[in-house]
Amino acid sequence: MTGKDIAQVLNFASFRPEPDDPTAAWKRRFPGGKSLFFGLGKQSLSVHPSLKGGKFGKPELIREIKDLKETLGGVGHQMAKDFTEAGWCAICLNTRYIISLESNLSRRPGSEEIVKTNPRTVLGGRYEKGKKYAVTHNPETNSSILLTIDEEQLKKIEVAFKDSGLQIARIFCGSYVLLMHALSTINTTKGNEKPASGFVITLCEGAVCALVQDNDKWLELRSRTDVYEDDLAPALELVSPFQARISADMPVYVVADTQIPGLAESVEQIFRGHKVTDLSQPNLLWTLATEN
Amino acid sequence: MQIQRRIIDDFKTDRKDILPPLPTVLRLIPVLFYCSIVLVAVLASLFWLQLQVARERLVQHERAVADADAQLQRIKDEKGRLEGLILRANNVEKWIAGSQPIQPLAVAIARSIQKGSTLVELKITRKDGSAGQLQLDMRLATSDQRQLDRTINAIAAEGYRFISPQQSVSNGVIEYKSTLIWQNARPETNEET
Repeated sequence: MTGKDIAQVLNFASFRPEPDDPTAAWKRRFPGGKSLFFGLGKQSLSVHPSLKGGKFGKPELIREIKDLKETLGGVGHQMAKDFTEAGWCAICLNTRYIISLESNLSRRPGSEEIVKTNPRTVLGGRYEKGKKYAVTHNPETNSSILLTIDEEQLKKIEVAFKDSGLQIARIFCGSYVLLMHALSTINTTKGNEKPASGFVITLCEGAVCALVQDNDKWLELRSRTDVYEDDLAPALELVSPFQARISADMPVYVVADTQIPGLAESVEQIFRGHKVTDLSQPNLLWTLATEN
Repeated sequence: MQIQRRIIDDFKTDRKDILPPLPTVLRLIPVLFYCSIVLVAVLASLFWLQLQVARERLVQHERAVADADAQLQRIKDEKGRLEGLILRANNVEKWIAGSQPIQPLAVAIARSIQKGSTLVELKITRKDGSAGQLQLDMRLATSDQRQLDRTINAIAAEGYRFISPQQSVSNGVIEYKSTLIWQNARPETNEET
């Protein structure tokens, strides 16, 4: 036992999860609330400082990034000093991932956790070396939503941030988080007595994901990254073909990383006749990231 | 169906040495530590206050002792002074008790002088340090040889005893010297007791 261990017991740090403990919620790791979130796109980097008291600072967006390491090198140390506790930050990955709809994946108990450590046992033949996975099973059917991220890219990101004086406490996929948030909001009734339907659209800093759920069944999923920047038109154009494929009475749920003025109206123009619900809230993604 | 929220999936490369947090119940250890510090601080403050009070009382006590000592010394000095006065008073009393009035002796001597005789000179001196002893120097002009005997008898009748009497005659004047001791004088030892 060292003096540092004793100090950590006395300042109660030992009773909190370590800052990079993936099994703990963010708010338990950083009870002070001060942290820094990055949104990483193909050629963009957004910065979202989380302040004390659950508030968020003014976000910044850096466009036309050629080299992430070079971009972070200029501002990383200062941001680590200004907005973080010991440089800890979280990265929302908005590019170079795949969200897909799979079926007949292993449903052994704890498979959603096992897929992180031993993906082959859950994915079987769908497993690819050098990839990291997350999975969410549909409890009523044999379909699952599978998130795939390239491990090599993750390592490059980790090195770039580490070299800039920042320590990565979490890397997550914003679209996947928003999709899970929308699904947990829509599907709240246990069992299959009251099946839910809906067309879910997620928009997360240029990434778009659309899922069709009909009577608890996940029928179709489409995910694209780096679709839009400021103008939502490319994203809406991507989801517009679903208008013809979904049933007339199917409600549409749209959720974005933050509240976008006129989003619901824009979606309503495409999905005429459908009930459109905007689940977005100001800083929703970052609020979810700090609460879970 | 129900899809429950869970902790956000994390894709960073995990450290191998991540430790779980300590059990919540062990928070009692630092809590007790801080409580003990507060308790120690409170007790130390109380003890410090008590120490200040005790020091103040000690100073007051020492001052009282010093006052008492000074008073005792004053009383001792007063006692010594009074004892000195008592000693002097005793000595005066002894001296007074030891001395005898000379007037009756002088009267007896004067009355013993008969017609035809003259007391030329009479000197009665009390000796220093011995109140009971008188030095008698007397000169008688007389032709009567019995005059001196009558005077000596008169002195003896007053209770005095003669020690070392000396008598000389010159030109009809008898010069008589003697030390007189009063016979009835109380002994000094009895006086002291």
